[in-house]
Amino acid sequence: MTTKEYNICVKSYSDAVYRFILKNIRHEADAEDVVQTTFERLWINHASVNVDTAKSYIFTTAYRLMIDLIRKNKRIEYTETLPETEIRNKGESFELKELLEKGLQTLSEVQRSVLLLRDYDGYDYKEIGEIVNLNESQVKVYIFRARQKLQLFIKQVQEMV
Amino acid sequence: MQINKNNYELFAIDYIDGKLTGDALRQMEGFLAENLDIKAELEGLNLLVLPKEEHIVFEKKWAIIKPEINPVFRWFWPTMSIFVILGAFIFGFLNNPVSENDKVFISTEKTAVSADFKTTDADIHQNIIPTKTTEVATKQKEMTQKIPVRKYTTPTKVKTTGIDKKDSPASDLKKPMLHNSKTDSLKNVLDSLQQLNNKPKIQLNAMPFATVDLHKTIIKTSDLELNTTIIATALSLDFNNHESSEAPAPKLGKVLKTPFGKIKFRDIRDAFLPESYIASTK
Repeated sequence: MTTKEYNICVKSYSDAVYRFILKNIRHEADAEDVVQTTFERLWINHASVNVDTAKSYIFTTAYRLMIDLIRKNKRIEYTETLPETEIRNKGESFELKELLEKGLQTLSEVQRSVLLLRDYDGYDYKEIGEIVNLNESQVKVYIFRARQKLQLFIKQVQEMV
Repeated sequence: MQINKNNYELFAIDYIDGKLTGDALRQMEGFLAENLDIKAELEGLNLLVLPKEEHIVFEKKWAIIKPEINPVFRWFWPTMSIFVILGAFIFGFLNNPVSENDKVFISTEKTAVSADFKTTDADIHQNIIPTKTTEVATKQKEMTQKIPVRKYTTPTKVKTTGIDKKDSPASDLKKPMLHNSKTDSLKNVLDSLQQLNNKPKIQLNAMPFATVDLHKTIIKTSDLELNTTIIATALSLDFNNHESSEAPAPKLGKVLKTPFGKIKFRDIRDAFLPESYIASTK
């Protein structure tokens, strides 16, 4: 990969990978760090990384860095379910987008990652499997369960409101 | 594979995406017909897609973008640097060629001063330490046999030649008339010399073998305010009575070519020689 191709990768994928990480960890500074480190590694290995596999390399690296960060950093805590009191106190009619945003945080780490990779970046199941180190069938099941969970969450919220 | 409650999740996503075909599709439809609660679950799932949030962008792209250098110009500056260094080296070599003989001669110059005038403690403190070579020391010893030992002080006198001391006003120059750093003293000397019809000669401290024609060139001198000007003028004089020489005035630090080799001119103090020293070399 040449410098020019590397810069094209930055322009093409940095936003997507940043969104992917930010939606997962919900911390801007950490997300920026992960993206910078990802591209730093890409630059270090740019001579050996093929431009065709660069996108996969970027997302895989970013995902692994994110997992390391989550495990390392105790302050990033993800709740499986949003506290009921919070929903009730809001007393607002949530838009679908907001509901999905909230529902996304109820998902497990892997569920959220595979769903984001599928919906945000349009990866096929095999590519997602390579990034998160799962096989294709596992990815399909995770995505299905994630969607089921989101649907259930939305129903619950609508019933409460 | 028969689709049942334990494995239907494997086919559910493909079914929702509309990618299930053939026997698998028929099996899935049969399974959902028997399990209406699951069928109800799957309805609407295909609509549950996360919206793309394009407004979220990575603001620090500038920090990870790398400068792109045109391959043609990649070696431009390194090549230019090599040429400049090489050019400077060649230019310096052509303008200041110093051979081994020159080095010896310069060494002689230093020794001449230290051999003529005994080094004192004060001189040692000032780092005026003789550095003799054997050959040079021998020559200097011969030259200075009759010279009385004298402390090395700032040279102050000029010696005129071509004039009989008894008959010429040059005898007035017995008193110190030149001071190395005093323009006024120099001017006095020059004025005195100009009064002589004969061409007065002086000798340079740094070049005891050379007699220079002050008369001709000093008359041309209009600016006596700066020592450096005087040096430059003095150095344009003839060496060894070659009065026809029209050599351009060199600058301080330049290497002078003389019949005896090359001398690097350092300071105005080198321009004049004490009377006793001149006497011995005549």
